[in-house]
Amino acid sequence: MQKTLTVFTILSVLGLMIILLSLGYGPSGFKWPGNAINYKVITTIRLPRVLLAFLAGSTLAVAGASLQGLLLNPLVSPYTLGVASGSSLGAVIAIRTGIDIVIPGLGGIFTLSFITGGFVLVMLMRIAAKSMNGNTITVLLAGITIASFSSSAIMFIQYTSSYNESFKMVRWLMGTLDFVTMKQIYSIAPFTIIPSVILISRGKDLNLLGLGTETAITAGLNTKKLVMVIIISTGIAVASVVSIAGPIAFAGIIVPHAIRLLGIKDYRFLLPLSAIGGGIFLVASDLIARTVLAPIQLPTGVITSLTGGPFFLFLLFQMGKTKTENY
Amino acid sequence: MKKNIFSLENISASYGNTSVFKNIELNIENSELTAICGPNGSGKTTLLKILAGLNPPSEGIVTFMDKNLEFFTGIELAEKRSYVSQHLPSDLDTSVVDILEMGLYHSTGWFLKKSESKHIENAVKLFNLEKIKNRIYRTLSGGEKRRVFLARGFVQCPHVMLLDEPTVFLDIAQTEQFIEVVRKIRKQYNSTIICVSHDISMVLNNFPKIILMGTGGKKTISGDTSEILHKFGHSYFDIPLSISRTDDGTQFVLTGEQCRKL
Repeated sequence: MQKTLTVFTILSVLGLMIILLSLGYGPSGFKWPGNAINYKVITTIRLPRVLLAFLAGSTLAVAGASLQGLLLNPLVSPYTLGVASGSSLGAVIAIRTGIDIVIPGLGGIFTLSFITGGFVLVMLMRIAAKSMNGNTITVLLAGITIASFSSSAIMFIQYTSSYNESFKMVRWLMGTLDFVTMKQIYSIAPFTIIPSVILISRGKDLNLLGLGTETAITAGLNTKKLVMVIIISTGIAVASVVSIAGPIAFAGIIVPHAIRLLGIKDYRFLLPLSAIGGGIFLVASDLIARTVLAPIQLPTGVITSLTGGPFFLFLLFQMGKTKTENY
Repeated sequence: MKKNIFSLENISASYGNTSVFKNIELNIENSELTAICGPNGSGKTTLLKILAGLNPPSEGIVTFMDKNLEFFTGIELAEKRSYVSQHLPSDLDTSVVDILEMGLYHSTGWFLKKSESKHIENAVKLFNLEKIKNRIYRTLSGGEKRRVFLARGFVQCPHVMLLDEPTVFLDIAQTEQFIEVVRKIRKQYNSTIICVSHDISMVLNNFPKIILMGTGGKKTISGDTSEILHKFGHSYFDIPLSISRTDDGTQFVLTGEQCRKL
């Protein structure tokens, strides 16, 4: 309990500092909201981007942690079940065909991507509904199959695209937070925040599931319902994030593990702390992406992969050093 | 005459097309220690899972506390019986106390109430977990892990406990402790404890009632342990088997070669 509070305090302070730094510093240098131009830069360019980064990061981390708990597998990421690949396929189709189904202010890529992500989600739900007692292996296999099918379809479409379209697709698939407006944030906020809250509320269930399916069921857990709740919530959350920011790598898998390595294993605490940690991780990565080669802005996904990988390896090495008791 | 807590009518079980057992008819008495015995593959665990409501039987009706077992919700069942599986997780990163707390899933909110902490303290004492209660589960020995899960079952519901091979990784001292704990629980809570076991000597001396299952279409029979084992033991286990009694009343089982020497 005390450990949780310590981690919570440290993360909160760190989060606040990084958010303020991201608002104040950008490719055009430090800006204080003293004059009208600076104020405009901060509120219309930096603020939406920082908000989106935090929202996307925390949503991905919560989704990743929940799926790791549900599938009892530490290698699972929020993209394992194929919803993100489905969303990516939609985006790639939108770029290739130029389809522009307009939801006001959101654009064709977002809309089509959200729809195909939703389609994959419905397929997963039907498969999960058929499995006995919430057996998750079938769902996992189906997800992996959908993910690799979508990747193949994306490659096929890329191959038949023009140079220009293909470049756009590659950029999108790297995952980026460019050109975001407050309007877009308002439109995805409910689709990320509500599922995240639902997932966080299932912490006690995920703890129990860790004892084994039979023990969990006989102790009163409705595993079938839990599987559904988690698949639907993570599906909606991931589809929303990916349709606006692309499949940003790593945030959803390493943040929960980083929190675990700090000694938080209880899902009641792991999930909310992952939300904060994921937000921080993506805001910080985006800050680097925007500024390190300024005025060139790197896609955020490139930074998350480049920093996340080594950071995670570092944590694993640290884990090897500490006593086995601690992990 | 004691009341029956479980009544099984015409129960059959199968996995796909493979039948495990057919047409079991039996009653299990309230507040009694009952063992389920039989050779490998006779369907002991399957029967226990049916009693626990984990797997529905392919045919027949199970009555539990005068109500069809199918009509209970998961939470209702969690309050009325506990089940300890034969297969335990090996690498949980959870502390022993936290695992015990999860036994109260059906009744607690996000955090524990005071009366519930007392119940858990009680379990810690009863199962002799004081020294390891703050340890991480995966650092425990096999026997300790089993004790933790038995204690979790006790925390969930001490009144009806369904245990699948509870002594399988325990040494003789720990098996003896387990039996003592079972006796204490039964005395204190008037519990019904049903236990799948291969340890015939342990069953013979401590479980007054037995359900004996066989392979190859042998009928499942129940009754007084020593009588049933004496009459049917050798044919159900398909080996020479006899029961001897020492002067102080302790019974022990002789099998195979030992039997012929007698």
